[in-house]
Amino acid sequence: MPHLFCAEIIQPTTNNQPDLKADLTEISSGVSRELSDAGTYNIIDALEGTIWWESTPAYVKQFSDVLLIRLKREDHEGGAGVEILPKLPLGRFAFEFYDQAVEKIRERNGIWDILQKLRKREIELSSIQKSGTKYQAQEILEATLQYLGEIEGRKFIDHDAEDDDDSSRMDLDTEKVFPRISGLLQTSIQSLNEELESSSIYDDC
Amino acid sequence: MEERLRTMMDFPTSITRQTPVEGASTSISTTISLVYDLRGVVVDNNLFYFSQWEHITNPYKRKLRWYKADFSGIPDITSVDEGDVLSVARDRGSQGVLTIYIRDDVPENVEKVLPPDYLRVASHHTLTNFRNLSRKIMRSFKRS
Repeated sequence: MPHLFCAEIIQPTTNNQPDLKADLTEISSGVSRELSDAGTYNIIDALEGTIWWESTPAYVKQFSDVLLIRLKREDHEGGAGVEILPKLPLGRFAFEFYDQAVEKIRERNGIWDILQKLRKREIELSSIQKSGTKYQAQEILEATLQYLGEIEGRKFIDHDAEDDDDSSRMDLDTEKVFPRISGLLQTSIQSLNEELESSSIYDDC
Repeated sequence: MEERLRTMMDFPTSITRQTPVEGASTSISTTISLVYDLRGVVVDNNLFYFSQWEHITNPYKRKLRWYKADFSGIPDITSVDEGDVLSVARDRGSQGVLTIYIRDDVPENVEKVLPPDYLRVASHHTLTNFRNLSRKIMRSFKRS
């Protein structure tokens, strides 16, 4: 039984060099902090990091009956650090689907790049930086809107108004009514929300 | 985009390969599964988890039964849930964990259960009777 424990893995090379071939009885995957800290990755992600580590991904030419996978966290914490799946589909690593897999890896990397850019743009749009501190633009606008809602329509004394000679009229003359500007602010919040919605595709992923 | 990312790496679960037959121009096709089942986890020198198929021949009742083998003190083997195994494998094991997967089309050793005696006797008699009958028919053909 030649393939009971031995899986044949091929690493294609560039520059017309012959492909590298290895018969493995155990795949040892180091689980990076990126995978273990996120808490959303699984054993296949760790395997991808090992088998597709090179710029040119490797593939499995011959699948063994028994597959041993050792998972060790690079942050030296206990356990595998990624979700262990009761069923492990390895079609993506098969020689027969190699071309499709390479194409999909490229496509997925492209999507991740777009998502990263969108995320960056969302942060830029949704925050205001003042004195080195970042504030959420939406929260500031909403707080301002609430404040304006409370004082709109009320009277206030305009201290900057020029006093005329007749001092007997006192403060009554300098009293003014707050203009209704919350509508303008509401429009600003609405447009900010719309812009954020159009750029927040990554939230769904 | 969410759906696209989720299904992007969905590949077929089996492949069919042609194997040439020695001394013949034909080849036989073999289908190989690309899906593996988790069958064991080695957490450290003292703690192992392993599994055994239950009702393997019945596709509706087939189920993996998991056991925990703890050798840290008095050797102890107890039945556990699969969920516990997956949780322990994720979080425990100071030197990482070793997972053992077996391809799901690898034949299992199944203990053959023979039918009850009375059925075996009956089937033996039926076979003997059939043989005798066919011999008689052959003889009658030869005579004619």
